[in-house]
Amino acid sequence: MPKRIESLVLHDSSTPTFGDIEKGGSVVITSLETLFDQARAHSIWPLTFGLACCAIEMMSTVAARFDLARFGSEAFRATPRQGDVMIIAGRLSKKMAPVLRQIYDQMPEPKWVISMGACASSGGVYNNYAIVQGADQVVPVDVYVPGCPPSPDALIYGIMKLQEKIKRKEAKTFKDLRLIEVSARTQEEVRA
Amino acid sequence: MAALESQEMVTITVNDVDLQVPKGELIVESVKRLGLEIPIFCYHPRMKPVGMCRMCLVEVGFKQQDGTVRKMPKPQAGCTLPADNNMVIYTDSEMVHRDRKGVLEFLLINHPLDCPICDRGGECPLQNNTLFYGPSTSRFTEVKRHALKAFPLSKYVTLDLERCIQCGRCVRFTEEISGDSQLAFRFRGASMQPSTFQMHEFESKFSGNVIEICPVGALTSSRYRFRARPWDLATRPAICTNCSNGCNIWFDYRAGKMVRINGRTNEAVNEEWTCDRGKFGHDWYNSERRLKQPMLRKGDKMVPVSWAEAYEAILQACPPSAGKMGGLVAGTVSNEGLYLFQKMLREVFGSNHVDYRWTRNRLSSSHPLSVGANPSNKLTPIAAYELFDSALIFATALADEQPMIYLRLRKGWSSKGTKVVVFADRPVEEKGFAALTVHYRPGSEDHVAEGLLKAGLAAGKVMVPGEVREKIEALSFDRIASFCDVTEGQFRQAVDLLSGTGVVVSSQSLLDLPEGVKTLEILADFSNGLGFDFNCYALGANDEGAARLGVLPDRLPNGRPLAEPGLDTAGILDAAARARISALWVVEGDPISRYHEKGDVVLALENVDFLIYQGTLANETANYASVILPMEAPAEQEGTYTNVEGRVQRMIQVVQEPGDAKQAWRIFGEILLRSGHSKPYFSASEVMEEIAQVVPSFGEVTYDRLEGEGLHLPLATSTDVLSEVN
Amino acid sequence: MGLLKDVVKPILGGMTLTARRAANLGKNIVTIQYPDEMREQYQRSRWRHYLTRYDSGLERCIGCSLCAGACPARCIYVEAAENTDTERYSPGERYAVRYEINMIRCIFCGYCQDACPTGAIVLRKDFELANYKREQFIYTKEMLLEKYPGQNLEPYRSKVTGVEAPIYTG
Repeated sequence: MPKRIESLVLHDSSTPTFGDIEKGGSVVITSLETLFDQARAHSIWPLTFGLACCAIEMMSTVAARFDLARFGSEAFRATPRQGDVMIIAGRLSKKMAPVLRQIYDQMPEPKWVISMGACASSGGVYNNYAIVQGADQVVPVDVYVPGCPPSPDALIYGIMKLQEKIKRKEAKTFKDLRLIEVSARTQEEVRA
Repeated sequence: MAALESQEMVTITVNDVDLQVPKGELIVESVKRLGLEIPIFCYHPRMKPVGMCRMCLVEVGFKQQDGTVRKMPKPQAGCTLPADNNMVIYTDSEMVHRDRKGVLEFLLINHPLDCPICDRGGECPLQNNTLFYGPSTSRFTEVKRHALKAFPLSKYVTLDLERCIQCGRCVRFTEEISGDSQLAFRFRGASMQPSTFQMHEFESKFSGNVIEICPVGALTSSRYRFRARPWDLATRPAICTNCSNGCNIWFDYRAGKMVRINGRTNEAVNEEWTCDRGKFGHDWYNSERRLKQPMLRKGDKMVPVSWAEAYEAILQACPPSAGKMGGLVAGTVSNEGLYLFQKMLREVFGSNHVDYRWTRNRLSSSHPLSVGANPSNKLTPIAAYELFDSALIFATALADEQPMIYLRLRKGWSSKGTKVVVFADRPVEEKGFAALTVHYRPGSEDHVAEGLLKAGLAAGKVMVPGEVREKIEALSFDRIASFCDVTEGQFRQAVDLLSGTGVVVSSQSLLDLPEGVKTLEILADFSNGLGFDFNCYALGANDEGAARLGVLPDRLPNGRPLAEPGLDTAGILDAAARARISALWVVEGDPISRYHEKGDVVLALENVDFLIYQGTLANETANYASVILPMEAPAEQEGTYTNVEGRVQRMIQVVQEPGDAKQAWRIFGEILLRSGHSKPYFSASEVMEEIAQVVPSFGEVTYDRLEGEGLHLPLATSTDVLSEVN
Repeated sequence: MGLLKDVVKPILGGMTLTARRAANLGKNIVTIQYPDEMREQYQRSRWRHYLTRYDSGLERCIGCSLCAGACPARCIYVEAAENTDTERYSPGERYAVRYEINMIRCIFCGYCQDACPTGAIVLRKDFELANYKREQFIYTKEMLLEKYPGQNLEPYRSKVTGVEAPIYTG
């Protein structure tokens, strides 16, 4: 490491990490982080989490007519290890909630969640004992997309909103402990 | 009521089904036995039929001897048609359907169809009948009638004449049920309209009912106006606690806020009516002054604290078992709360200074007229009031204080001619149907009672013990008249009218008079001498419960008298003013405004070391408090209430309590638990189980048995009257 | 010999297909370049709600709550009040003092539009509704109400690029 950069890094009181910019990282890492965010924003690989009818629209979003590849998000992954954004597409039943949370926990940082459609976002018409009234009771949601189901372009708009959020560094990372703590508590409640 | 002239059964045929019905029963009622329904507007089961709206048209014929049916040439109104032998009714024929369509189209000609903004929209009989029986379109293209819209007939009732279909339900209600005849029809034909005299204010104690019985949105509630639509509302059954009648109500709420009150049918209590005090008197549930958080006085300020801190402060400031605590409670607390209140004061604070009575004079529990002396004192069932031959209403504005008893008496007068004698010091509603109304000079009740007894003795109708007789006979009518302005003739006339089975009705507010106890005794002698029921009604929603559950300084809940009685209301206030007791626990209500001597109360509140105010609303008394405990209002809690006839009725939690407020019994139960005097109570029904074990008259009461009409306490009632009701 | 059959021939076959497609490059492209290009919208496609006004500027909504009654998701909340001569919002006696739609619960079924007796609530073509926080989805009366009559009648323009979304007519 060139001496100049080393001094910059080591003079800082805390070791800079991703997403810790506000607390005073170094110039180099900060700039790198911006670059990383650009990269992240333009290759958010979704994790398939189709739960109901919204999944059909989610699939058609990736197909030729709407072509999510234009946003670098064509690679739908069936494993949480390779997913960046979880698109919860459909009504989330209370039985599915622990599964959803487990898969969310298995995703590597940084990770994001899009709640697609009325049911995932709030329960929609299913205001009953079986459906979680909003996926944000289980996982922290970054972008809500209204619609029943949202059309592919509405979902693309949601993904663009997420890109914007990532670029503006407002996206949640593992440093945002409070929210994760809150969601962990709700997870326990759901399990109970 | 559908006129049941006789119990003779006749056979009628409804839609080819033979049916046995009492002779004279109205056809509109008879078909209900088959589960059929005839659409109606003007007909109301509790009022006389008039056949104004023609909605109930049915085809009628008579079976001839040769077995054929000879039909009447024109359809008949089912609501005015009494059943008779060989009658054949068709409710479903093509002609009937055509007639109904015609009637509805005719009614809708002048109806504005502003359903989207009408408060009745969604629960409107005209809407429903049009949907089920009416035409889908109108052929009427001409200009509709225009009339008065949104005219405030009174503080509570708004009149919209355009919507009126001239069924006359409101007019008949004020004539037949409430008896104030405030509404009448004026003009004729299409411009006929219900109206008060010269559109003056609609002054009635029962005006809210016309809103409910109006089959369209012509009469709507001014309070409820535009506040919600029926589908926005949730509703749950509740009990009205604004007076001691215990009327059954529907408590409609939206987003946790009380929106309106409607009458709920309970044949034993309020039939289906409500008084205006009950229907419009629940707005305080949404008041800004509701207490939400326990408060503790620190220095000059009231600081919000947690319940635990408040309890600690109370238990520290008031040493247990010292007998230095006084307790004053209002009759709007549930049975469970009242029972645990006296239990807490007696067991935790070792004090018998507990009372629920706010009148100037109080009967000691050993007094033969007090409930405490005889917990199974007879109470006349409300439903029995329509069966008496005569009644004496003494010094009480019945329509205000006991509205349901007023309605029953009036019903008795209109159905079987009950002779009602009224003694009052002010104009009263009963004058309209009373056989005799006597106005006496205010404050001279004891002399009036003496006069009555003397006239009774003179007429030889009343038997009383010798010493009373001597005392009364020593008086002269002239002397009595000089006090109360009632002449001998009037007394004699009153006594003449009181005969057969009867009842004497008075109110506990008599005890507010300096000579209250004496008046009550004379009146009881008079009543007993006549062989009448004697009722001196309490005014608080649960005063009857309080008396039976031992909220008295000289009686335990099981009726056992105490060797060393505690202080009663006046005694507690006096002791507090002289700092003989160190703490005062006031539950609900504002003693400053309720007690006849405001100065005594203020002196007591100022001088007592530690004042605990527990209530639903912030008021003047709360300003003196050391600790304020927020309490849930009746409809926010589980509990039971005992009404004037000794009927225990259950209240379920309807709306959420504001903030941290707790149920009364829970507060007392937690104090009991904290001081180690009791096991925890987890629900109101557990408290009731304990009450049932301790208090003999509540032995039968469990929450399961309180469904429906509630449970009448097993009291010694005038059996002949009650058996007639049952 | 196997080399020609197993390797060269398939490659040539595949490349022929590619070449044929390459010859057609620029024609028959199915992908819609949203947001630079907007997909045509159907005449009856239903998205964001608006509360409309009469030409006089008065609100059409009379606060009758029929939309709330018709809503299968119960996402509409209406509170009505009475017009006075000095403060008039809508013709007639009644107007909506509060009108809120929970856009995140709404399923855009359009029953509210069907139920509305005055045609006040309409669903138009604004589909770009995604946002970050739940609170942002409670659309209040101020957000729903048109600023002037017919404010949103023109074809929808994308929030991102301003490109107009054509209405499908064929």
